[in-house]
Amino acid sequence: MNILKCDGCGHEMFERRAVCPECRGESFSESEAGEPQTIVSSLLTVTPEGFEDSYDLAVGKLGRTLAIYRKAVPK
Amino acid sequence: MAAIVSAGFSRFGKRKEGILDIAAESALPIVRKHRDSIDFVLVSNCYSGEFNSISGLNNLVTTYLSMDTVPSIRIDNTSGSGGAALFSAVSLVESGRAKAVLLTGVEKMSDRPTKEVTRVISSLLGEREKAAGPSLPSLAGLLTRLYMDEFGASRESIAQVAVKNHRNGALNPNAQIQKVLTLEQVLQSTVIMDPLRLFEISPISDGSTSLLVVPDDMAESYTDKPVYVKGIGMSADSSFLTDRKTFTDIPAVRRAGDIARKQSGIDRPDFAELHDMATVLEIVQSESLGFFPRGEGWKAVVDGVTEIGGELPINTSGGLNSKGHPIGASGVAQTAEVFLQLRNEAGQRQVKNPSNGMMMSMAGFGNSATVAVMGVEQ
Ligand SMILES: [Zn+2]
Repeated sequence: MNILKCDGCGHEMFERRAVCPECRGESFSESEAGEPQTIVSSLLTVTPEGFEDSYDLAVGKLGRTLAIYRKAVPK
Repeated sequence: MAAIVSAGFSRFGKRKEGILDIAAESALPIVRKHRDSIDFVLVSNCYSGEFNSISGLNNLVTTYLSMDTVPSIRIDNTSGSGGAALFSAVSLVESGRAKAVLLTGVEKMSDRPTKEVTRVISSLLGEREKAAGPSLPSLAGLLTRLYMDEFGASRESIAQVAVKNHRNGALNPNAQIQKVLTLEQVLQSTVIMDPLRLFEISPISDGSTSLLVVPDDMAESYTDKPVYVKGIGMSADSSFLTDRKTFTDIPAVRRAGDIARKQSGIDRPDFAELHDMATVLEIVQSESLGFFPRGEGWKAVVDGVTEIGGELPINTSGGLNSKGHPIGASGVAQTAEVFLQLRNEAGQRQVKNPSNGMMMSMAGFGNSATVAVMGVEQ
């Protein structure tokens, strides 16, 4: 899974910003950070339009930031 | 500062009327009496575009009320709109730019399928976060797990918030759900985001509430029972949940509360209306506002501290959980509950002789919060 890294101070982010919240830098590079390590997850059974009817939703550590992602549910 | 001198209500729930009629239902009792004084209208609403295909709702509301030349603004700050609108109303009268602000919070959501409503509400998240398919209640489900793990809270203590709030809601004639629930009924209701159950999450609602906000030195010319805004604070935090340092504290709520408490000189209110979109949020917010030490809010629920007869009643109105959550109306309705309680007009759910009360209106999952402390004395 990719993260964004500030070219000025190395601050890592999951979501894109125009300005680095740490150093006010305005230039970022995308890099691969491997698979997130799940901190918490749970089965969601009322999902937004455009998504399947249930899935495991997780928050995990990705590099030095967090990620929100769907986990594959074993069939 | 400012004072609230009148409040109007609509019943919350699934309503057949259109959004303008729902807005008028709560606004008219105020407008009939004070039409000639009202010189500004604020409409707290999030989704008239998405759910009702209406833009410029504020101008349509004023025209519908035949106040065509009264200037108005629509305020959208997602589920924290009502708090943001109160903050704006207070600022307008305090600055002298307005002398009587009609504040109407309104939403009409129930025409749309649940999946569409869920998608529209989650659109406040970051682009990549949204692409994972979370709903706002799903984040509360994750928070429930984190809170229970971090502080050893029992599952029952979280569900007990729904038992309390439904009991309170059953005493509120304007509440959407007027049904007393047992702990077993809450814990056996449909799972929405494990472990959170259906009765622990606010329903999809239509409804409106209105207030009249005036400068405090003019309050007594409107009513002999004004409610004064003694302190109001607004704060914010990252919209991106993946940037948060913790989920079991809500810094925007904490900071807004600190401002309102400092301004008002009231550290601990007699009662409070919080943003219980999900049961766990009421507990976490009660800690962020300093009512209870961090990690101990759940014990206060179990011990009955937050019941109507308890030491610090929370969500006497039934809260969003039972009263309903017509999003743009919620913060206004929370304020109106404080208004009723402070005037001893809350009927069967009346808190015994309160002299001050607090409301907290929260947007998103804590990306913005407004806290107001109100009192019977200036
Ligand atoms: Zn930087």
